[in-house]
Amino acid sequence: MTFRETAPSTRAIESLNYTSATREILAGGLPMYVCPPRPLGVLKLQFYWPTGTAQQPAPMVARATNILRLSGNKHLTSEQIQEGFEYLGASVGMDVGLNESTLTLQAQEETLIEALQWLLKEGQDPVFPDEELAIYKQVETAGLLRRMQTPRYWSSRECMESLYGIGSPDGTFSNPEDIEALQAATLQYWFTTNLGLGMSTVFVSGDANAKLQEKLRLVLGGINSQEQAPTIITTNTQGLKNQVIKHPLEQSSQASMYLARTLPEMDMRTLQLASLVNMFLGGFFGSRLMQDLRETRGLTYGIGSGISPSSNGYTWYVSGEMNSSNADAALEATLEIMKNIASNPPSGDELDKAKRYAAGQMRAGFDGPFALPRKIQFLLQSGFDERYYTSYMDTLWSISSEEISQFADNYLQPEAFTIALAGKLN
Amino acid sequence: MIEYNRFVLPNGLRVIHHQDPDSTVVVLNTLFNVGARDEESSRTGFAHLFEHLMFGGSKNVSSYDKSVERAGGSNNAYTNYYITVPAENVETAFWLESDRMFLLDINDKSLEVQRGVVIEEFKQRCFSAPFGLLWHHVRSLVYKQSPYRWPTIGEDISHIENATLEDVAAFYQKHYHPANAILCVAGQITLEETKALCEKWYANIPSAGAVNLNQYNPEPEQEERRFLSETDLSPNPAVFLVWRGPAFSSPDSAALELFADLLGGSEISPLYVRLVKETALFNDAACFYMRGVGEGLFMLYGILNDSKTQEEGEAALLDVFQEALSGKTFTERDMERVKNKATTALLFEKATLINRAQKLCYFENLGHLEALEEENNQYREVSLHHMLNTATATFKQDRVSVLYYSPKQSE
Repeated sequence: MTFRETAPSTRAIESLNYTSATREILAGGLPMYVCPPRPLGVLKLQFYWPTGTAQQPAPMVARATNILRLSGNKHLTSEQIQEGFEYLGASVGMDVGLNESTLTLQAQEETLIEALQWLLKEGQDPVFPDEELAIYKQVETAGLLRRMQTPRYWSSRECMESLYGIGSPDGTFSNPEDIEALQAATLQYWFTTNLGLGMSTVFVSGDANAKLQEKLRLVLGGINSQEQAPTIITTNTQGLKNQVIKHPLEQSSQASMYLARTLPEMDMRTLQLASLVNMFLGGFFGSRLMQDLRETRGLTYGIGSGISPSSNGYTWYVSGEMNSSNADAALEATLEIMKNIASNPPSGDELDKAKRYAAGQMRAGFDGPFALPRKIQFLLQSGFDERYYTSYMDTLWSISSEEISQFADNYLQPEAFTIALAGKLN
Repeated sequence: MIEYNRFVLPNGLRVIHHQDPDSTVVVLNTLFNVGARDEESSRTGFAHLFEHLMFGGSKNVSSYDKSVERAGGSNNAYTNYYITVPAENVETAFWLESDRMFLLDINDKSLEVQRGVVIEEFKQRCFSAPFGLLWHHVRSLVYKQSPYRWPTIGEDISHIENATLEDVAAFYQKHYHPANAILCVAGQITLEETKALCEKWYANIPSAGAVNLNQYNPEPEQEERRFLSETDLSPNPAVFLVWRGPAFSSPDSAALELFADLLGGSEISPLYVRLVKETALFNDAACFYMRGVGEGLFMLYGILNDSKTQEEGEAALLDVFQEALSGKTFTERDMERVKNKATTALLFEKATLINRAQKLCYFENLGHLEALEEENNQYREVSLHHMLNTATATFKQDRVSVLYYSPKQSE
């Protein structure tokens, strides 16, 4: 027997071992989180707003407004504004999610303040020029039409529309006519009421040394905080459940399946429990879906599951792509695996392994200079406080096999999922 | 600046150590000096197949993934293999990585399963999405003799379907051994620990094969315009213009990368402003220079709006391109701008541990580890004059490879 035959001992990870960001209120009232500085020479300055597509008055408005917020003002064109950032070696990126919007300014430590001042000078009074909106519509429509060629797009769309109802916050998928209907006045209104810099929370990560922090306080302190417009309350309509929807795409050789159900609002412990059950299902490489469908039977390349926030709680989804001839077998096997988690819950070694993996991944998620803002934003969105992280390991290690079985029994029964298949279907 | 230590084990394994005390994890990144260009023309896609087979277990590790997961780690590959583990479980990573370099377990069962997975990946990527076969078409048009004529995923799906156990075992023996590998150990680990663990886990692996000398069939100079017309799932027609260019290590390749960024790297670039915004000929128009180890590729492309023809598109792309080459488009301020962008991008690349580990391996494989610190200077030293001269000398209009895509439904 050689030393190689014995695996080195491993330790279970019992602490996240991270340093918190500091939170302060700037002179003008804006909240700012500063992450522990790292001497990298670069920083990210992120403005975060807790509104996204769930609150928008019409499809595409939240996204188009944020993307086009630097597309021109009364003095400068889109190109002139962008050139100002690029000349400083800086870049600006915008993103929009279900309940959030962000603007991220990336720059070198020595040019960040100048880039920020450029943003404050030229990025606060957009006029959403008609010609820029027309180009946006053209580009966005072309991209949408390309996505519409793929089975994956249609399986997720059909499933979510059926589950939540077309037009509801979680069941809204844009069509070319939605893009065409966008108007500058609507974008202007959304910007003024939801996306002003004074309505944001600021996150600083990277090389935020003490000197730079002082400069940031000075510059950002000049922004007066503003109230966002009251959130538009829209609720999901009752969608169709417990059915299989098919969307044929004859020119594809592949098929895609998407299964989804709603999950209610959960407290911190229940969300961790749900995440652990999801891990066993399809949340990591060692999951039952991945091991059975891909690694044992070679039916798919991509298969997995996840839990994502919805406007009224969470959505639990399973998705996979496969050759058309494998679609029925893959779906059947997926439903069987879902059903079996309640009756055959992980215990002993399987449970221990998954907890060790979850613990390691949670810690790794905090590693790196730009990791913290996303973690804090999760807390802001979910309504949790930092105890979610400080108690994470204790909670994880205390979850029992019985709890997993009970949760799966309550929420993982296949008949509670809406199922969509798209692509070349038999 | 990335600080590192370098040492070589007696079996030829080159090891680079990079300590990051701020990190809570350790990355082991293994670069084997093998890629698609080392495949036989009738057995393509093997280097990519190994991205899958390498996770199938080894003599002393029945399940690679389960062992990684038990250590709280994660792993992946793109013909470059990396594993990240919490620092306290680093020895597991050494055990796993060394064992699969030593005694990978390739058997009929694992080959059958992974062959199925790779075929699914091939179909999903290449047959089920717009532009899925783009690199197959581009490479077969641009290259006629060198192994660059097929993409990493393989030239034809039948090569993987027909792969035998003997084929893949021979490929493993030839390429996946210490003398043909570079290991970077990065994160919360000292040099002493790294040396001790390398000695324990890697030093006794025999170097079974020769070092890859990276000698390939040379590709003759392209002397003519080449043309290919294909159909695709994209609902819009598209035009792609491609030229070959110098390898990563040539200073000229940095100049061509800057040229590509200026011409079509952002929404203020002339390609986008003139052809998407002003004339609405395209809904996307851009270009990039892909700097490769062996050589580079410059691609200039546009996705046309409805009712526009590919001939119109090609002419318009070339108009903007030629005007840029003539020196009428870019100023010294533009040069400063694009260099500043490149400097920032490099700093962000080096901000994450995994990127640093992969960059260290990449530059070691080039044979110039010290050149990593010169990367930014390569950009800073490019003058407007040098950039335009290099682009003019490299991209001859009568030696371009042209690819037209038409929507499948219009057939």
